Amino acid sequence: MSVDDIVLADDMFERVGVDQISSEHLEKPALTYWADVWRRFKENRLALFGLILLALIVATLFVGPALSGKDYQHIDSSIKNQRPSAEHWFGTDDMGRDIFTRVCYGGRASILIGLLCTAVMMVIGFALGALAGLRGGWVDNLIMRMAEFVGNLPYLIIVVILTMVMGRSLFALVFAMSLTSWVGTTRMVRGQILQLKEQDYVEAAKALGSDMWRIIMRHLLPNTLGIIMIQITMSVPGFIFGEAFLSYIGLGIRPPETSWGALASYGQEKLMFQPHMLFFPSLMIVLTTLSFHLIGDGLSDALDPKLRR
Amino acid sequence: MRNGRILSTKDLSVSFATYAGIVQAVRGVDFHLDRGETLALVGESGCGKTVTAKAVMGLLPMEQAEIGGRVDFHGENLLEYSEDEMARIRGKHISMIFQDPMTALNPTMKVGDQIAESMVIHEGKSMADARAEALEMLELVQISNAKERMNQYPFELSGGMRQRVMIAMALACNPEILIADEPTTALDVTIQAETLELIKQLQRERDMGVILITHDMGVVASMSDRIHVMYAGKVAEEGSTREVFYSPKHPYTFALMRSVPDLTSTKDEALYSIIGTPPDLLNPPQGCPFAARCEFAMKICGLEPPGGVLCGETQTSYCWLHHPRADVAGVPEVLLERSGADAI
Amino acid sequence: MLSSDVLVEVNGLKKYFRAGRGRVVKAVDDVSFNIHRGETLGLVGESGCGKTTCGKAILGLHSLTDGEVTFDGLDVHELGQDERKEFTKRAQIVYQDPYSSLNPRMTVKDIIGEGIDVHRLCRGKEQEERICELLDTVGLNREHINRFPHEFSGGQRQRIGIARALAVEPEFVVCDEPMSALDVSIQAQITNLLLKLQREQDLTYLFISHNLAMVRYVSDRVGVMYLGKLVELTTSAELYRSSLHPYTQALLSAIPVADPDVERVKERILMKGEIPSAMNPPPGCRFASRCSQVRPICTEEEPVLREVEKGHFVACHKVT
Repeated sequence: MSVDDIVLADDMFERVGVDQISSEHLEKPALTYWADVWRRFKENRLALFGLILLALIVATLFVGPALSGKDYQHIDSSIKNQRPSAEHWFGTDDMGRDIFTRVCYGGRASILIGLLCTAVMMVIGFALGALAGLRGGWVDNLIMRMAEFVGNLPYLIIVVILTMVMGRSLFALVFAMSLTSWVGTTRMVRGQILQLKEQDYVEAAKALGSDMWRIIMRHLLPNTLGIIMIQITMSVPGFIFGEAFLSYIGLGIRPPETSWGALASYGQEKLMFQPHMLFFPSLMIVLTTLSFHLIGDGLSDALDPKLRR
Repeated sequence: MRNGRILSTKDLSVSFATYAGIVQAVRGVDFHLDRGETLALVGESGCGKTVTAKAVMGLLPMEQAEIGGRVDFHGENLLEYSEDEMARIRGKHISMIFQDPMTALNPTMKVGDQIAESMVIHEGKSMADARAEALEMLELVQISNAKERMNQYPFELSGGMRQRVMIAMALACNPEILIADEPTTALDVTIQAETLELIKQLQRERDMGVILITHDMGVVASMSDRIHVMYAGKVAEEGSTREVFYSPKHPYTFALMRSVPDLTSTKDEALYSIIGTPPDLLNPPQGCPFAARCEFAMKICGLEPPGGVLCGETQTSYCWLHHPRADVAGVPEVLLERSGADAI
Repeated sequence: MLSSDVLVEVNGLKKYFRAGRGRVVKAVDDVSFNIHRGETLGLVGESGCGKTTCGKAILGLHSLTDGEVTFDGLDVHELGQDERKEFTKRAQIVYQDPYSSLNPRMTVKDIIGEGIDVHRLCRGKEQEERICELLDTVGLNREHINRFPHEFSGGQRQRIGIARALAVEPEFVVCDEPMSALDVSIQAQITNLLLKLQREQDLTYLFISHNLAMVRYVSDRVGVMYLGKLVELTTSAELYRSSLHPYTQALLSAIPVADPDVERVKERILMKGEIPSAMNPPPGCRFASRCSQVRPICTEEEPVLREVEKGHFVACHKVT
């Protein structure tokens, strides 16, 4: 294409100079950090599936009993040990109780325990990890040695002893299970804080006169949220499983309250003849764990700056 | 191909598919390289110079990149080569060195082995022979205590030394073309000077063609025979180094030269600064990419991309100011003077 | 010059870092100089010379191993908590890396407003107006006030960093390689901005960079550092016209000039050898191992910074 070939109008060669508006613009569409994370998360089909699955499970747990119309404690020997049917969606147990409703109630307890333990673990873990990372020196040393010590204690024995001593109330269970769980979180938070501390913007905040509290709340915590969220999604199913295990050895939640673990434990004895008693609570544990892990993986990828396209 | 011409591209274009849309990183770039000469691709970040080089080397991610045009190397179009065929070209005929030697070298492999590797692959040498030659290469790039260095790992070397190792690796199989992508940007000034001297020397000895990618005008002045100034994926101006430096024919080149302080400028005169930022390559401007920031822009500049106008013996500028009907009031003399062949 | 003209006094500044296993990195080793009110002092040197550590130590962001830094008469490292807070209003810093110097989770408004909040300068509507004015001053669009750093280009982020430093109305700003990560044409924009701000707000700058041409352009006086030591200090014009220290001369000859004919005939002073480590600096002059004009005394005795001409200080045995 030579300059000759084009027939050009007279006014084409009028000077217009610099175009102020388009010369200083912003490149990409406005996306907050979390909006971008969500966008990346959404593109990951498995992660999205996990999220939907979890939502469905939680919805079922709360709405289920209303839908089924049954009472989870109602005993009726005449309908005991029934296979799943239109009347009893998950069948009945050996005392004639509707398993579906029991699974819903049990699920609430299981997830509640999972969330409570995770919350305690997070708070302790973040506090200790931040303290170790920020103060360094002997404080850091002390906390890390404590972490090593506690981390090496036989988790199960501690939990067993504690529940035997403190009883089997919800409080005792949560206490026992979270007591030794903070170690991993502490290490991770500490690592993240050590890295963030070196960032220029943290130093800039100090140079502006910000005090330690402000730096933690406005600079360090928000940038640690990412890994904390991933930790949460990976921990909740761990605690649910932990409680299930305790129930298996007779130390879990106390009747008449029930959990998936308690239901599974109970159902395990009847495995030969009424497999549905074991099957459904186990299925719920598996599905919930799966959904949390899928979400956790998806979050982890969505948050990874190197995978950003 | 003419005698001495070893590489040429025609209408090379590269686009990438991203979540936000298609980014047109390179939009119709032509250049050629002869034996023994140094061509500089100059421009600021985002202008497409590195992408152009990687397109020639076949190093762009195939799932996301769309490449158009031709890259002629000894009569063959490299863009049509398969990955295997390109692997035989890379390292043997065309080599590339990168900006950050730390990430370009394998941290778990001894330095000597890394140099020897390409000889084993491309020339079928035995490891023992290759290592012997690798030692020679290290000495050639002036690394002291070469024998000991052979068995060291990249982290044990300084930045300047790592860069030399990378040069040794690149030249091990005696390629015809060396592509150097910002080879000294990460180095200190004094080490930079030595590294550039080394490249110049090796080029002379081997009659190699060098494509130098950089944004540093000083490095360009010191190293190159010819320059292509790139902006927003297109070539703004091309010519011999002297032509482009002493009589730039494109407002962007002109502005670029004036915005760098030399060792005699004082702060009484403000640096010439170009308003604004480079355009978004998701939606590249219709006409000349520099129009929005050009103080001499005319209406046509925003609507039609300018064609190339020969302004000097070998100098071509892509700018509407060279059109006979252009409004040249206030435009600096040097941008308009013609020498050698006439326009159109 | 009257001593009341001196804003910053650096005396025998030493900053050593421990590198594990008993090793010590002597990042800054006995450096002394003054910065006068209203001037721009440039600090030049290659990587590892200690110029950034020096700048940060002046602001109290690093503790001192030895020596003293005085700001307007106050000892920077002996300030109480309130005094320190006052000090942060008067002395600020602009960082090199526009990507790591802004908190990715904070909006422009929050970033610039942090200093205003910390010092309780103004609130609410008034604060927002002040932030908008700052955006105008640095040449950014007011409408972008609620955007996040990752939405801006490097040059724009650097302007946000400058606005952040200016928000507290400082007298003294340490510019730590503010242009190194930017494109050439953007460097010019930022440089012009910094100079304009200096004129309008009567600022004093410590301008740290490895880009000698830029330092010469911006500074009134320039100090050259090598491996933790100050080897030459003089006015900007003098340094480039008649530098005295062999390192300065080698540095100047190493800069490629954007002029092909000059480059072709240039005689480069090439230095031999590698930069010695700051962990085990050799005895005597640190530059001796690479100096083309070395003599026996250089490896025995460390040269002291002396005034050889009016206002021109050099630390070199050959010269003094």
